[in-house]
Amino acid sequence: MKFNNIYIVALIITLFVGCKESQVIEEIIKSSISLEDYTLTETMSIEGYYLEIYTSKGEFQTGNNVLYFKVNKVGAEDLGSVDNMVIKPVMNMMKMNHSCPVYGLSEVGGGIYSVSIAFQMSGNDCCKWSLTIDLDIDGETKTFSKEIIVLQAEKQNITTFVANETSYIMFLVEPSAPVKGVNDINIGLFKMENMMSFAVVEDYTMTLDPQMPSMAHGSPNNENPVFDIETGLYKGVLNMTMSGYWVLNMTLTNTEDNLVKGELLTDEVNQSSLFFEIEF
Amino acid sequence: MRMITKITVILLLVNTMFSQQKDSLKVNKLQEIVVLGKKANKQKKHTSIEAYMETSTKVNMIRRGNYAWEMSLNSMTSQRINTTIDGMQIFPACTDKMDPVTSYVEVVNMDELELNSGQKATEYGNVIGGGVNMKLKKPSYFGDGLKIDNYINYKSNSNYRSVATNIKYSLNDFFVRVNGVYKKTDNYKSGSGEEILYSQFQKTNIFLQFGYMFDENNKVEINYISDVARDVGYPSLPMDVSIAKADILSVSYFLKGEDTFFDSIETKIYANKIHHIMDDTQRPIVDIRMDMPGYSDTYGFYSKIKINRKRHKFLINTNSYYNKSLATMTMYPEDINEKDMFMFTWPDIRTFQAGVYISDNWDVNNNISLDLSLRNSLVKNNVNSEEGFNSLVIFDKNANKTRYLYLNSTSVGVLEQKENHSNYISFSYGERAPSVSEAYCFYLFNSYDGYDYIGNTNLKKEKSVDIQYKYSLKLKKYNLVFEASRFYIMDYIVGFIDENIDAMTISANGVRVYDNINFVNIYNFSLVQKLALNRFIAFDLSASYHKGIDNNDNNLPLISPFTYNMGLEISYKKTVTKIECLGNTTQNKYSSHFGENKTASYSVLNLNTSFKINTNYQVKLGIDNVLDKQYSTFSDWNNLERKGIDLYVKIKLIL
Repeated sequence: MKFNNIYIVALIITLFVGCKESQVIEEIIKSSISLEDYTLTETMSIEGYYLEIYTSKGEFQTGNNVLYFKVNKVGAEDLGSVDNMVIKPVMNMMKMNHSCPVYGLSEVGGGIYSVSIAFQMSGNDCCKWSLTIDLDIDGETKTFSKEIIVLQAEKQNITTFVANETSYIMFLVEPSAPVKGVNDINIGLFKMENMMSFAVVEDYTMTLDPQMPSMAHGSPNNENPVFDIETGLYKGVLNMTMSGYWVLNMTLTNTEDNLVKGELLTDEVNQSSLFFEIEF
Repeated sequence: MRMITKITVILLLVNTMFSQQKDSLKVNKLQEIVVLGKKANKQKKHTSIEAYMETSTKVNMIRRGNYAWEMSLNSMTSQRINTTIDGMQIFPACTDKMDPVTSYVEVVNMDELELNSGQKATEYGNVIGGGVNMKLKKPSYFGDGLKIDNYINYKSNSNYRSVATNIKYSLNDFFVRVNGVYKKTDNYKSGSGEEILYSQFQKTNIFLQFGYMFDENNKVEINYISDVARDVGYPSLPMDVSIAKADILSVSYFLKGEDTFFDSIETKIYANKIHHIMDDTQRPIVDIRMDMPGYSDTYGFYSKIKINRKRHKFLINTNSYYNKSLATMTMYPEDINEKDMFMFTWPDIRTFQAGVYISDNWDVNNNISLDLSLRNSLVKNNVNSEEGFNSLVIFDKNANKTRYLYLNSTSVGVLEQKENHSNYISFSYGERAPSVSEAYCFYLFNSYDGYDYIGNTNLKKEKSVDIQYKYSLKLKKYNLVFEASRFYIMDYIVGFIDENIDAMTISANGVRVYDNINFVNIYNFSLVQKLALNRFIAFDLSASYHKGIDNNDNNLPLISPFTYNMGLEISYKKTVTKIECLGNTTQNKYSSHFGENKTASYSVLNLNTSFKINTNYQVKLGIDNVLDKQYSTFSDWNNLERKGIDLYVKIKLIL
């Protein structure tokens, strides 16, 4: 409490003393993302330009990854205008290549961009991921490309399945830092249009039933994730009464009310085939 | 009501029968004093505070094992009663009520226990049911030099042994006391001869006291108690205790007034820390291994001013305390690769209370005296753990992180004093704040009803209106005290079953969330009689009856059925022999909703003899439960069986 108060007081002082225009406030909020809070994970360079990618863990893992990146010009402070950015991760498999869901590309201020990539599989000796970023700098197209390492996450946070001849990818976005008590849960749901293109699936219905298998209990008052048009994610509330290993049992129903995947828990069914895992 | 009328009629008859006889009667009002030390010439009867408490007809002890019994006063337990040590607030650290405050002190530390009913107990804090103030021994500046008392006790049933040493050193202005007690016992056997597993315990208690008298009017006193219990078994519960540790410190200053507006001022500052660790490592089969540590730290002060003016005796007590209660639970999954499961069962609750108590004892005339008391206090609760608070929000989006409550208490009593009898009646209104568990607990398993309990931060204050009546008759050879009380408690706090919530504890029946119910009624009646036939033979008989029902006529749990205790004492020369028979009738009014079942009636026979060889050497021999009866009472948690036949010997040796 005390610290919060100090922050609020400090913020108010900063606002009133340091600046007078509301624009400045916006900038303060925008630049609240500082790359110093993240770990440099990958650097790519081409023709006097280099691009640094930061993540919170310092590595790429299966599941949802939030990337922060910035393009720099060697020996120059000002970069010029950046436009037409396209981000394309590709899994290079022997027989066929494929991509994965990419969403939420935006500038977060100070020339820093953010994008989310949901890798559905890890790279291995034979098949590796590569990441390609195309962009126009002062009207000139540059292509950054590099092979990247995607590690297997310890717990299941992404799942792919085929139903009615459609391939779906469903993944856990939040909570990325779970806490005891009330958590916001965000889930991404995409379908594969072709090997290289994925589209957000809107307005499906989900149920959420978190369980602790080693204690055989769940948690109360969760809210099923529902589609949020603004973010393109499904948003709900996940309650975890204690730390430890949780299984989030889910079901997915399409807009025609047909069950796509998963089972509701009963005395016989103690885990859904559609689930995520959280351990903290 | 019919019963009250009958009893009143009987009393009036008794009254007229004996009214010719004359005897002085001590004004005692509702306070009941259980004497442990100084005035007790006879050797101490019991070895624990709890056993002494039980001698009051208003008190029942709830047993979860052979150690740390929980007091029920006027049919109400811990959250509705106030337990203080010489005015010090001290709060248990165990979420499962395994460490009532009375378990952290010893008989040898105490002079007496002051039991007050209802609003008469609000001097140190707002309360509903009443309170017990355990009065520590006082320094005595007699210039006696060094005195050492030793006590040795042995009980056969559980191989209980204890030694105690009291060392006193006094000059005319300086006093030091060092008391040490060590107790250890193995498992006891019930009347059926069955060994009650996990009923062992051992404990060490050290009491240090320093007193210094600057002059007749200025005195200072420092008291320190260290109490450590280890390896305490709780046969009625799924877990035991590996260590329960208390450090209790206070410094007091006594000022007597001469030609001042006050007669005396007593000021005390204090601090106490309790650390309580539950343990399941001794149990071979458990659903899941867990650790449940609890911590309770309290800091406070009080300042008591006494003013005597003509026929008035005023007392003003200003007091305040700050308590920190924190308890956590870590569960260890069978799969060692999984992370431990952790949660806050008491999410670091900080309670601050400040209040003023004012009372006046007014002798209106030689027969009538009035007593009036008022207490107002402010209570602030704050959840200090962000994580813990975030967990409470799961159940209530509008949970209160910080809450202030203002508590009131008012009481008026009238005493009519006649030559050999007296009538006392009092009317009171009081309020209490929800306890830490009621407001903030998180999945606390209650093995009595088999439910996990969840706190509710939006509980209303509990309010009580009570009427108490006491009739005392004191004749040369016959004494009688009859007491009756009725508590009408509004917004009574109790756990409600919530079927939408999964139990956390693996074998639990479900979840209960604390909430207020409209009202309950609690009735208590007790009668104590003593008849001394001659110098050699005396009889005593006490009986009590209690009833508790809620607004839907459901019985409340842990309410005593009709209880009796009959004794015959024969004194001859230096030998005193006592035969005692005590028992309950069948408990028909039980609360199955809260996990109770019908408890059969019982009666047991105790026998003891004490010899005073000389003033420095006393021996007491006795047999409890002479007939080796197998029984359990309404207050034995999960029908825990009581001790079977138990032979004991107690030796007191003064050096």
